[in-house]
Amino acid sequence: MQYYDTGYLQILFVVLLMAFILFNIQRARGGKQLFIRRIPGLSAIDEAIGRSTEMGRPVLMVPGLSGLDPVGIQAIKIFGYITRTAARFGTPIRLLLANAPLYSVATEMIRDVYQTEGVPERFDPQSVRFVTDRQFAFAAGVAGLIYRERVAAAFLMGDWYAESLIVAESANAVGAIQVAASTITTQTPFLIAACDYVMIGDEFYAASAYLSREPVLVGSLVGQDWSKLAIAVLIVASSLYGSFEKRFVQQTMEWVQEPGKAGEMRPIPARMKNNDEILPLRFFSPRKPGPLDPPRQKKPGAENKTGGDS
Amino acid sequence: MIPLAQATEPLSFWQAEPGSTKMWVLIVWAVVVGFVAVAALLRTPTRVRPMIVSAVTFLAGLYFVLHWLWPTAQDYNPDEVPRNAVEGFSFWLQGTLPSVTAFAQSLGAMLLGIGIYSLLSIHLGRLFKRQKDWFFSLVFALSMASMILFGYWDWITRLTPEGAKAATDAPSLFPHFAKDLLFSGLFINMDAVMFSIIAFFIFSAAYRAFRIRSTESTILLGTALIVMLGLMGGVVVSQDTLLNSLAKPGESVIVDSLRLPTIRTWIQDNLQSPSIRAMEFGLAIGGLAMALRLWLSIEKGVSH
Repeated sequence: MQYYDTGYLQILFVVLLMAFILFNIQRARGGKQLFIRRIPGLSAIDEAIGRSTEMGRPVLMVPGLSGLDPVGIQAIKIFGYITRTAARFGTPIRLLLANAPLYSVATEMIRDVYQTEGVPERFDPQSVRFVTDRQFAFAAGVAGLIYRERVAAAFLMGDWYAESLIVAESANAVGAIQVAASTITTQTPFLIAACDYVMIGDEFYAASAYLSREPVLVGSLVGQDWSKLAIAVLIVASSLYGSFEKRFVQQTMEWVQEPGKAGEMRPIPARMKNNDEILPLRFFSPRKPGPLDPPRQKKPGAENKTGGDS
Repeated sequence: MIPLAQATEPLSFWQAEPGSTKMWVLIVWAVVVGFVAVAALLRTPTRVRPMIVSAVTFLAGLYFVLHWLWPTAQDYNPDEVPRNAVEGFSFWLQGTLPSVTAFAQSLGAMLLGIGIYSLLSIHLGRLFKRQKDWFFSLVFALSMASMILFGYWDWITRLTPEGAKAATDAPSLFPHFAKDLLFSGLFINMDAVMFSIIAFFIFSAAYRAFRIRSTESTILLGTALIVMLGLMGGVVVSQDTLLNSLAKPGESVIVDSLRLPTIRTWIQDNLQSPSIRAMEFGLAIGGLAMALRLWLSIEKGVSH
């Protein structure tokens, strides 16, 4: 059988990473105590909410352009923990979204937080708002709210693109404490320049485990660390082996087939291997497909679909 | 002239010609089925609901997991007969993908209605109660109403082939002109203005970040300075002229290593790219773990 995607080792490796995560979730559920290091950006949450409470100004939470996907859900989970603290102190919140499906989920999750805290009357349905799904119109809407309501703390977490700096600088202009995390690595430097605390890379995903200490999340986080370790080992081993293979194992013969003549092996000048000839790369790269052998039959009636222009 | 592939492409059970009666019937039918499904879910006992949601989530996720895991048939063509069961299942997965993704899009479109309701409830409430900044809400309501009106007017007139031809031949016709004026003439330009503002924000953010306050910010400042200077043609040419007086390119390894583009490339290739890739690995694994927890319904809500 011939299939286009033959990079099975890639799939096998991802399945292995999934196994690491699930195994550690199970381990944590079984009562195993697992360690999470301190994340400064998350330690600043209470400080930022306390400041908002003292000043009587709202806490702003924005998940950027995140949709209803793992990034968006993770952002809303972090905002849920922030809202829980805000609900206890009666601090007003503003959650602004650029994605309608995520808005629907966020509204329910935030309402749920207020109910769980026993203060459902403090939930203001207008505190969770869908602004627009257009990038710069969204940036304008968020910046406008920041200036009008002069928020005291801003949490910017999720998929941030070019609008990140507009929002972060607007919040800085009104003196808000800012905690940010972007899954878009090109925006991280902008957020580092503009915000007080920034969670880098997968610290964004570690946040909910750090805040809740829930066994499932802590186990998942340890599984992620195992996965990163596996990738690091693979990169180092592949680099070392690739360097060895490229430098010392040189291809000196090649098969030549000229028209009308029998094929033969001929010596070629010694050279270093190209990157695509190295074993670790070939392991993880899909094989190029050849012609279908045997060919497939056409369905009855399918042949009639050929012809000229209509 | 319509390409043959478009002209002869058969419509599936779920599809209809734009503007046809069947299209409107399908839309109404889908809305009714959607409301019935939601009503049925609401009447289900509370303890059973999570199980239904988990089952639907698992099945939906399973479809895409299988799409990723199952061997993909080479040169898929729906007009051909698969050669074996494995290829047959792959054909089914590939053939049904457009319908499944369209279903997800339809769900998103319905949820957009809730988003619009949120916008209207906030702005119309502020407008009618004459609360603070009610004028901005008025501008919003007028802009939204006119964009919807002219957008749909333009869309409906383009539905038929004659209408589409008329819109191309005479773009100055009122509905097309009005929609273009609002969208291309106003909206796109305002979008561009917001984008342009970033230049000023970069300046103010960079000023704060590059003040020498700590060892880290000093390293950041030095690195950024080299990368920026290495991209500035005038600086590079001036430095080249100076270094060429010491040694021609290729004559001295030390002098060549001091050239700004060489240092910049080294920083970007050996420091920046690996750092970004390391972050992306972490993010990808974090996303994988989150997706796995959602798919298997082991991710709890924030209230637990």
